Amino acid sequence: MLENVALLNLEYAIFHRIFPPPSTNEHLPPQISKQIIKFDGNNNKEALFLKSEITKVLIHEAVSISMDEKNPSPVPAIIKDILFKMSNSEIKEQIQTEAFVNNSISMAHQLNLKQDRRSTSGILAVLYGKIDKTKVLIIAKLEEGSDLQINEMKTGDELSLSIDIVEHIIRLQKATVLKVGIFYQDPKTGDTEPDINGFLCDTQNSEHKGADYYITDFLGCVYTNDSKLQTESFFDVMQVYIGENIVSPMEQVIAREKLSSFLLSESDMVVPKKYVETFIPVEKRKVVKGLLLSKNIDYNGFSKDIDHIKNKVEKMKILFENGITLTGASANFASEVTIDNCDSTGTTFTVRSQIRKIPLKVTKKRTIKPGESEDEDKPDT
Amino acid sequence: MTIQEDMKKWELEEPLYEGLEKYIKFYLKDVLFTRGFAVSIETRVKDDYSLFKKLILRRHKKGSYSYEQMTDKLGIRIICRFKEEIPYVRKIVEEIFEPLHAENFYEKMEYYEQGYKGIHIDAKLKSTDPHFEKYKELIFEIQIRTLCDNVWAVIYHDIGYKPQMMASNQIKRNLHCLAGSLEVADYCFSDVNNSILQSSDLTPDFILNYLTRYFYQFFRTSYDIDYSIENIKFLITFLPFNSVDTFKTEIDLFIKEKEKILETVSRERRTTLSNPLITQPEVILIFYLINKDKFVLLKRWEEHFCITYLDELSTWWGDPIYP
Repeated sequence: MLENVALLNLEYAIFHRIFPPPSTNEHLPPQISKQIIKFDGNNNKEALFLKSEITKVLIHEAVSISMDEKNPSPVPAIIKDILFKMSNSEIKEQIQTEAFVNNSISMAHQLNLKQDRRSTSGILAVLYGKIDKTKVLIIAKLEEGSDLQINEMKTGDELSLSIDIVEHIIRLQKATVLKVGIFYQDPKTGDTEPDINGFLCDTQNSEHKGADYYITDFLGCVYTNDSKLQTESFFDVMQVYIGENIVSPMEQVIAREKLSSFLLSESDMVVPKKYVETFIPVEKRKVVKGLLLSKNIDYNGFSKDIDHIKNKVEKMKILFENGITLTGASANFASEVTIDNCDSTGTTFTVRSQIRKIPLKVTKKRTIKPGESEDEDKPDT
Repeated sequence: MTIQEDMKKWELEEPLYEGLEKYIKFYLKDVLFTRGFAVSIETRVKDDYSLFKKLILRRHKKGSYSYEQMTDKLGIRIICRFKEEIPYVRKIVEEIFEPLHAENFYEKMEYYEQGYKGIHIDAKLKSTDPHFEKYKELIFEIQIRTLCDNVWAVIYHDIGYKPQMMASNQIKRNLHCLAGSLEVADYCFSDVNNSILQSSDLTPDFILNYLTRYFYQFFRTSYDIDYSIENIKFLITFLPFNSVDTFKTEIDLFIKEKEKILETVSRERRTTLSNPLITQPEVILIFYLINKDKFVLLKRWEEHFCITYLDELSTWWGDPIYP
């Protein structure tokens, strides 16, 4: 995607001014603009300037980021909403632009809230456009300077911010773009809910990685090579592969058990290449490798962290159509459970073990009414 | 209709022809340049007195001549650089407009004759242009000829030095020789052009000639030839090609792979006044080098160019030299 940034065509923009908090517990409200700017032939200069500045920052120094579904920041959902609504022919343009404005305002408030005293003031620029036919959302923090100036216009109570490019001056070394993140829908995901891919660069950080508050608290993202995310993605990809490519339930259980064992091993690294070469038939290895790479999983290895998937890795669960559920530790599921009679009438699971316990006590807490004793709820043992 | 009635009709239609003139000039240039033909296009809507005189003189000469029979109320002249471009340009014209009548003056002459040369096509807009409904019945004349043919046409038609009208045989002979010289010059220009394009040496002239047709296709503007030759003489010192064939193959492939980016960059940046290289054919070579071996380019660039030019070009290309 980033190799085609030259094809970026910016269509809409909105700017809000963000201030650093004066003290730990205080936040100055952002200066919100309600004016969406549509780039057409009349303001091409501004669009092309922004495109140049964003290109310079993104191309060499951006790192891949992914949305963290477990992060409470509202920004990932906002990004998805904007990308869904904009250029959607089934949604009226007025609704599209309203959503764009309101979502950007929410972003401005979120950034404002999450900044700390080390943050600098700047302009939050939310830009929508396309690279070829792929919808793209760019969230950038800009610095006002001698060549990028912000115009304020007030109509009644409503403020609008637009940018002015000052030409023919000697450009100073300081960056105009402080931080920029670009998000786009993965075109490979087709009709299913598309994955959103992203890249981020922070020019204020010596490693160009986003400041923690910016990537985590504001954008709600993690670096794609984050070990929790990589481990979870690897597990999910292989789960889906097992489910779709192995027909026999017993073989599925075995494959699933091997996957869990692989992840529960003592090694602090996950090496997908090793897993594929050990457990995947030769004729399927290229396909599996492709699947893993398509999810930005480091095929040669990454640090293991099963935090996000602990329960799923440690436990195996099988749901039957008659409502019965069989749950067990993944590590020894296949050796302790046999599967027979896999036909149209059903499947027989045989569990070889002594019964340890049949929990009969239903411990259901409720508020004790006046006059009731706590013993009334105790069942007969 | 009387002359007065014709002139009244003209009074009403003249603004339509003026509108059509603007559209055709822009459209024709765009299409021809996109196909790699760097032609000159001249247009004119007939002056009132010119129209009036033509109506009177033709009626006097032929007995009858209607307002509608005058097909050059709007005249468009396409001047090609080389003879071999004429059939291709004619084909494009007949493709984008609806041709009504064509006259090929090249074919009308015997081998011993000299005279006016060119192709005249009477045409209308194609009926598939819904935005131009008001122009759909207007007929215009398109003339296609070479630079040398045009010189002769000016001498012959505009200045009026027609051999058959001259009293002196010597003057007639001189004019015939002049027409012949111009025709020979035309063939010489074509020969020179073909010799350069068929060269087996990777010279600046060859490189410029080869890049020019792609340049016109994407950038659709004129360029400074001397500046180009000077720049290509510098760039050639570190080009990664060892033969004409390698150069052609690499450039053709590059253009094919990067067509969309070239179109985007040219559309967005060709009116930028900060960078003279963006409207020079060697910019295609520079983009090729940015794409393939940016570090060599960066190392040598400042021997000849200002570094801000490369900073800008590489950023517009989507691969900035500086982070």
